[in-house]
Amino acid sequence: MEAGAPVHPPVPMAMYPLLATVLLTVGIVAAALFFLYQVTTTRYSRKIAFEGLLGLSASVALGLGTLFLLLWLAAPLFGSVP
Amino acid sequence: MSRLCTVLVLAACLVASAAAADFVVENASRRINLKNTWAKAIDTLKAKNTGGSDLSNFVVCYPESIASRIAVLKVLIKKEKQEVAPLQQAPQGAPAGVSCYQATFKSTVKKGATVDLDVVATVTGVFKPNPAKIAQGEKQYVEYYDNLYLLSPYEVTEQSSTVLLPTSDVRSFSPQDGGSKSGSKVSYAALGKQGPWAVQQLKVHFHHDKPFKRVNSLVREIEVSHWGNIYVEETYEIQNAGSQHTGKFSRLTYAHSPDGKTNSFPDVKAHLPAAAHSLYYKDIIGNISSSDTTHTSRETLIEVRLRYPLMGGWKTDFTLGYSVPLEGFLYRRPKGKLRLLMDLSTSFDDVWVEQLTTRVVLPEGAKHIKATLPFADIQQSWDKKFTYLDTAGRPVLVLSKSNVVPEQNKPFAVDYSFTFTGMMREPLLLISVFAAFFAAVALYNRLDFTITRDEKWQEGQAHDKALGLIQSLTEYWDREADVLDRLVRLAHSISNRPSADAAPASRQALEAELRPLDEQVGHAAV
Repeated sequence: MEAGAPVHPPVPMAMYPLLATVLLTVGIVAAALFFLYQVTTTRYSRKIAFEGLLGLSASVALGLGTLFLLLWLAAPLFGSVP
Repeated sequence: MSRLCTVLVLAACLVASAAAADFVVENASRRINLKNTWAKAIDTLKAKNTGGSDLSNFVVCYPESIASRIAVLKVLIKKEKQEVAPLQQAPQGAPAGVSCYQATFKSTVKKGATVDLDVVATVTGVFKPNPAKIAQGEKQYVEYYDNLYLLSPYEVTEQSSTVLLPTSDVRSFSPQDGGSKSGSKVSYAALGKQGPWAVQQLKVHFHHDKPFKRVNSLVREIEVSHWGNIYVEETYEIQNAGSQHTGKFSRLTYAHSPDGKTNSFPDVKAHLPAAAHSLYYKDIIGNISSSDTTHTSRETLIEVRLRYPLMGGWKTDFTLGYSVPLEGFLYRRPKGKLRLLMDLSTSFDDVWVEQLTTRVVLPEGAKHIKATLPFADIQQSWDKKFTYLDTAGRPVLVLSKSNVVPEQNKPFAVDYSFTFTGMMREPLLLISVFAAFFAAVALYNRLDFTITRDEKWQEGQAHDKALGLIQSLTEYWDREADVLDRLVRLAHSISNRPSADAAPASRQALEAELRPLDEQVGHAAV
């Protein structure tokens, strides 16, 4: 049975712990800034562009951070992974 | 109608006569190897084409008790495999209880020519323990039944049968005459000329010193994740298929004397790929810590000690799992397809599997799935598995085969197509969940849920407006302060003639910046 070029993962697996912690840290900080912005401004002075930017970057960082956390830890803990 | 009858009768005659009258087996030398826990019968035949034309079909037969347990049947001419297919009905004249197979040769045998062929059959589960039950410390004796002569629709001119046994402890063999035992071999050297379908029961009753390791069922699940790993999880139910243990089981006798072990076995060994990692060995109770793993550059050898030693008839179940990286198992094929190459069956030594189920779980969104299998008698079916971050479920290709021996553990290929965007579905799902949460928070902060808009509410609104105004004013004043600061620095920096010439232009630019800010402050104040 012939085979072609081997398939490599998009992100090297050795980087999973680093990526997970860094992305989650960045995501939590961004989420904190988002909530701070929500709390310290009134609805008359809030700018939706800034809100959107903060929210989007927080959700991207948290989403990717959770994915790498799952990839890194689910196999040793539960035996299989995404 | 009568013409049809004639044609049918003629055809039947042809079929019947074709089987018996075309070949004559000049010499048949049968070696029945019983040294393992499954029987391997190698018949070396020299057949002469005595028919009227060139022939390319040859019929081999076995008694029903053996034929139903055949795992592998090969017909080799000069070590080249020929095509073999089971025959629905035994040829005419066959006695009851006979199953036949037809081998189709790659090159025809000319009229009058002889052909040398080897018929190799691997048969499991044909040892009958006698006595059926033994106490701890007793030796295991089994009986093997077969046909003494080559069971063939052809006439056999000369033949001999040899039975190779694992030990030299033979209680009896029948028929007695014609046979001789020397060491661990029982041979019937010259059996003389026999007509077709010569039937004579051969029975050997001997001591088999190897434990019978039978896997009743094996479910092997292979999950492919394009993020980097292939997860293999195998669930076994393993039983000792030898003489059954009866009476008491003394752990002390078991541990302290070789006689206490006889036909039992405490462990099984597996040869896993060298890149296997994150191995786990557990059962329904939990992790089983009694295992040894040795990593070498060529393989990972794991010795798995069962929770208790399996005496005759005892069984246990366990789960063995490991991960391998994508490299070495997943490859790119033309037209954007991918190919997964994995072994079909278990990597344990010395076991045969009664029912094998291999499940290949591909990532969600894999399409055009096609399998290339090493055997024709593997059944395929489909299933779905829901696991991490799945919305519609992952496609599962289920392959089933029964009666699998270790030599059938060959690789198989599964081709499928899976795009990069398909892989991005998982992180996008997570990101959208978080984004929805933040959007909900932002939306909530913009909504007003007060029931009565009384003075206190109005005061709060006025307070908020004032706060907003102050914030925007503060922002403008900060920017103005910044511009004025730069003007002051400009003024201080005039130390020579050239910069003095350039100064007015800069000052004008800065004042231009200042003007719209002044206006905005004015507007805000209003």
